[in-house]
Amino acid sequence: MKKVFLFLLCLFFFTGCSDYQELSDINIINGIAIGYEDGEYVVSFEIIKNEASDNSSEVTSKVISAKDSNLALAFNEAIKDSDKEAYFKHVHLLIISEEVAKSGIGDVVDYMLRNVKMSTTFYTVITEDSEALINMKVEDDTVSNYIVDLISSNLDRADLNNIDIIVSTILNQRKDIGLPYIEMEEDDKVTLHQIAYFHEDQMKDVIDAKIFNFLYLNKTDIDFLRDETVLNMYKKKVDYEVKKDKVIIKVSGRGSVKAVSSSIDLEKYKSYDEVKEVMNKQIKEEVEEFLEETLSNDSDLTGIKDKYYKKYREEKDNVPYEVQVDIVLSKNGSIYEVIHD
Amino acid sequence: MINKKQYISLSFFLTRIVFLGGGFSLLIGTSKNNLLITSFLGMLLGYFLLYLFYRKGSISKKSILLIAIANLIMVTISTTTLTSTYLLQKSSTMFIMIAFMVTLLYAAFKEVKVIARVGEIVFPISFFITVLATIALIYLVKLDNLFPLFNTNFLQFVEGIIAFAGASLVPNLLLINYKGDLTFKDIGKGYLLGSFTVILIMFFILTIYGYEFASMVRFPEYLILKKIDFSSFVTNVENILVMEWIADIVVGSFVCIKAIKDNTNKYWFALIIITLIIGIELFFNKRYENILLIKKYFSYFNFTLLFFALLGKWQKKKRH
Repeated sequence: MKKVFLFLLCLFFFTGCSDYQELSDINIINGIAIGYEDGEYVVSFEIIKNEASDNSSEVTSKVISAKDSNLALAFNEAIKDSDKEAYFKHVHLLIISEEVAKSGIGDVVDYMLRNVKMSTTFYTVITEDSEALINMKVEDDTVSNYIVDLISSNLDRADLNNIDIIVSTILNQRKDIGLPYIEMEEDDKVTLHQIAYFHEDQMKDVIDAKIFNFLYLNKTDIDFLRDETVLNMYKKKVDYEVKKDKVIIKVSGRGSVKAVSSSIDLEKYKSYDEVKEVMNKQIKEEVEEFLEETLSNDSDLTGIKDKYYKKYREEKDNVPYEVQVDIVLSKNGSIYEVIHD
Repeated sequence: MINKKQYISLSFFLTRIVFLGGGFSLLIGTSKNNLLITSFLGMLLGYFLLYLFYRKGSISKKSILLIAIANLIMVTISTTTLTSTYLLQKSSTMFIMIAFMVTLLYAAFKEVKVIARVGEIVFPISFFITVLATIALIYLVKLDNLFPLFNTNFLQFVEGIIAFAGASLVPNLLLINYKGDLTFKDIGKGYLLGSFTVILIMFFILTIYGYEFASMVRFPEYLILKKIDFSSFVTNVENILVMEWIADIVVGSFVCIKAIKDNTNKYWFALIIITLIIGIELFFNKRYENILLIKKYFSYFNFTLLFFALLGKWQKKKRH
């Protein structure tokens, strides 16, 4: 009798589903867009439609928007307007408008991290018009999935899809973050060639994504062009040597020749040194240009100041740096000579 | 009495019992980048104090009761908060707490041998999950986040040592009266193993998040588990891996409630449990500021209890 009682007690406590919900009773939020309009936050949800469509394999979505001067209230309004309970654990993408990013994303990341109903693993992107982007028409897919695929193919995934990485970088006063910048073109086409770089929680400007990829992410397969020679970096390593007077950024790696200038003959031993020298110079210039531009805008994406502080416990506004590049030319393709003139 | 293996497993769980929800974010906030050093020194201090208790023999009933009640309150608060925050967001905290208490009460009326056997069975599972989580998190480690060292003042440094020793050692004292013929080597093993795994988890929290972020989030030990991702194949496993903490909490709480049961009569026992449930619901689950307060001072309170226990024993010996 005692065991039966315990069994019933277990049934009562452990199998209760009084507040269960059917999938059709919730709105699965796939993407969120946050913009500004007339001094108010505009929050839009991209909701996956779970009604049966003509073509069952087709994933469709709808967008719901709401406005308020307070971000949390704008979210609440959008949730209310969506007529069902909003489910945020499936969020894949957060789109923030450039205007919001420039005024500071502190409010946004605070809300996203504080809300325990929210997923913490999603990509955050910046774009000029967040509303236009989330309302864009994409064939056979949702906007969020389409942009996530775009990020996956253009940038390395590991470092960019966690809200806690953004928050911990914002909290660290000596290091800054860069986020993918999505550009909309005509005919609902989007591209990802640029990175929005920040100082603390404020966006400063945009910069070409190539060197960002090269320096900070695990992305390889990056091309460098100089005097008609194209070198593809298929393996690379970036090390930092922190000295008392400067930080040395050491870039090393292996390159493969994709195209070669007509003046270079790869049958000759000396030509390899020549190509190596030219490409080392090119990479050094591009890295220096990138650092110069971001650092002049107070954005330290490399975390040079942080590295210096960690070693010498000394806060410096400007830490001198030097870029050293040492690329080995290890693949030259299947032909030695140049066919064209 | 319980055997050596059972003592080690129970000691392992009791060492880790108050760290979930109570210990980690507080210790990180106090010790910052010195966390690993202060925790290691705290472990050594705890090991030395454990030796003193071993040499002195048993602990008074009053001390046992105080330690058991204090730790049970802390653990119940942590369990209820974690469950209601991340797992059962719509369930009432009272319901979560009663479900937890029913399990504990079932154990309270069993012999200590049964609880020890449970600990012995769960120990390899918990240890395996800890190792699995550790392996899964290695690729996220950034050693940079450990530096610069010594970014606290001397007082905070000492506070960190005391807090770790208090949090890890005091629940262990509940077992001292069951030690029987066991040597100190056997008694210390579970404590060292438990402390070592706690320090290992601290290493991951600190190197993955950095102290600024880790000290501002609730349950950083749970949040790091969310980051596990094996080539997009093994993801969202945090609710499986959090079982290591559930094992600590459940087995550790079994010992706490058993200690209360064995050191009071049935009326007092009933009164303590009912007061505990109602008190936690009214003063903690409904008022988060009180949880912050108890989290802040709990380790020091535990450390004070430790000295009372030690002092009480000395006075008793003197009188004899």
